[in-house]
Amino acid sequence: MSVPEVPSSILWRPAAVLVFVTGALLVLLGIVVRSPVPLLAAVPLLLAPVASALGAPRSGLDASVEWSVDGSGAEVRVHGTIRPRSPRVADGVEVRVYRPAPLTETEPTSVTLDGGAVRFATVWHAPYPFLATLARPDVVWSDPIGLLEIPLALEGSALRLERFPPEATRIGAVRLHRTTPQPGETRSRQVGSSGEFFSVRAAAPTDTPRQINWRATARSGRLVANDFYLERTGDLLLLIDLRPTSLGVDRDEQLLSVSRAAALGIATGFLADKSRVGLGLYDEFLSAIPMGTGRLQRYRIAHALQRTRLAENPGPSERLAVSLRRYFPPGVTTVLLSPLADEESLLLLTHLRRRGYPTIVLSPSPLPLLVPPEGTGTPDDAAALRLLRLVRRQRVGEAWREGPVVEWEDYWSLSPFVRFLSVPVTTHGGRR
Amino acid sequence: MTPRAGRIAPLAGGALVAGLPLFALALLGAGGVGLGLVVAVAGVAGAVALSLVGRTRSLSVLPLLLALAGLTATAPIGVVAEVVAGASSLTLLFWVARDRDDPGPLARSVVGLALPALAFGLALFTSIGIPAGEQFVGAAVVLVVIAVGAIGWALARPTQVAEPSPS
Repeated sequence: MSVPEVPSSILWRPAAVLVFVTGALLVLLGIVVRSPVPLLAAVPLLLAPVASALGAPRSGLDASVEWSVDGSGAEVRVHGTIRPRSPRVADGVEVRVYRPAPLTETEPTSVTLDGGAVRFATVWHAPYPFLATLARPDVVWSDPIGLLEIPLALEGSALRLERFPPEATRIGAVRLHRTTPQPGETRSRQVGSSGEFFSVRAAAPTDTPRQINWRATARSGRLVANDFYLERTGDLLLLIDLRPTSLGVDRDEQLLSVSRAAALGIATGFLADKSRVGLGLYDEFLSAIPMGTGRLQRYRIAHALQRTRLAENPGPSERLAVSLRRYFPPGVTTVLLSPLADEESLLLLTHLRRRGYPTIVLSPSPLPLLVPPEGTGTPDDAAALRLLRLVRRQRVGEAWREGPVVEWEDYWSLSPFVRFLSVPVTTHGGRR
Repeated sequence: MTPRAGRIAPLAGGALVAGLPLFALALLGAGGVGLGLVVAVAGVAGAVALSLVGRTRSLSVLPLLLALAGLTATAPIGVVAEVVAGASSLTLLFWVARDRDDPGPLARSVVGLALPALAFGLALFTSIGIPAGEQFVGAAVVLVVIAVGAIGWALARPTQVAEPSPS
């Protein structure tokens, strides 16, 4: 990656302006009151910005960053190393890592000088699953007094942060019941390294020992490897309803964050098991990613989910069901991620069923977001929460008339959903 | 320990360093020791208060600078007052150097103050060494002209004022 163009201009900090202006005012004051005391007090203040500017480096103002994210679940650990081209610059390097929503700071960013490199680390906490892009940190050189800074041109890439419930990665073990061919589709001619046997071919250096057909190799006298039809276990359509609800923008944003993370987690799990996964995002109109497999499809889905925002102009429910037919065949297993917060969500289910999409609703409950922090709740809050729980139960019960609903209250666990896919229940209350 | 509590100790140390010369200047003040002490205390307290609030931290030196201006204007003319006034300016610069998120090693900040301290020493020597009462003003003005000229030379490349840090 090429070094981005960053002008190596001096940025004066507010303190520098204050110091210099005060120095000038002290000079005027000294002349007015005819006293040397303000004048002598002004000398260091006027000279400090000059000293800072003179000491600023004029070359070697670029650096490379190697950084990564680890941690698991709610804990997000970001650490990296910045290597300035000129080791002399490392002495005054300051690093600012921008924290994306909804993360909160657990430990402030620590910066340590290690020879000519600068190491930084920070720990954040994620209150619920999310997807975010972590922009490159801002790296500046600062003078010893802190009056000015010079931005360093940084070579490196942004990071993607993905936190979804860990069960999602194992969800692909669930066998999807339907594999629906696209109209006019015949059997897949794609070949790969596993699945149903297709043919033998000359081995390539990248083939693993398990792919080598040793018997055929012994017969032919040259290395021969097996090819297989790519196995498809089923098709899955993930739908996210982006229309605003009566919960308000903040709650909708939080629930959308949870839904996006869950969608990516579920897609990742099924794509790893060679299923075909498609994505539909509905705001005013439908944005669709047609069914596909493989890592490229995961990238497409992740990219689309990262860009997802709440709808400004919500579209009618029927439009989604009608639009789906253009991209996805009816009968495909459909998972709708919706908080079921209003009547429109229920109407959506009805239209999906009528258009032939057997829909399972994975419904992130808004109730955990409404619980007041521990120790701050009043009896009225508790009563209101009980009422909301009743309303929620009634709404979920109504949704069950159109299709199965998996309630999702613990955002860091998808086990209720995995359990449902493994052993589906057909009625509200758990009867199979 | 919370991040805010973790900042109290270094902040108290910085306030002490920045406040001592101001208090000394207040004790020398011709406008009354009581009023001078009030100005010095208000300056230090204002700086600490602004420093504790993230958004106003970059302006925390402002109360100290105002207190310095007020105290130097009323200070009696004399070598002691001149030395204390210069020391006050240097300690205020030390406050600026340390009151930020990542101030770096203490030695680096101290070395950064070497040039302003040297300039102050030269100005003080000039002030004491030239006996005529009016000539100190001329010497100081020359210093100011030199400083402004040096700034113009140093800023031969594009400059701008940085946005305050969002933290």
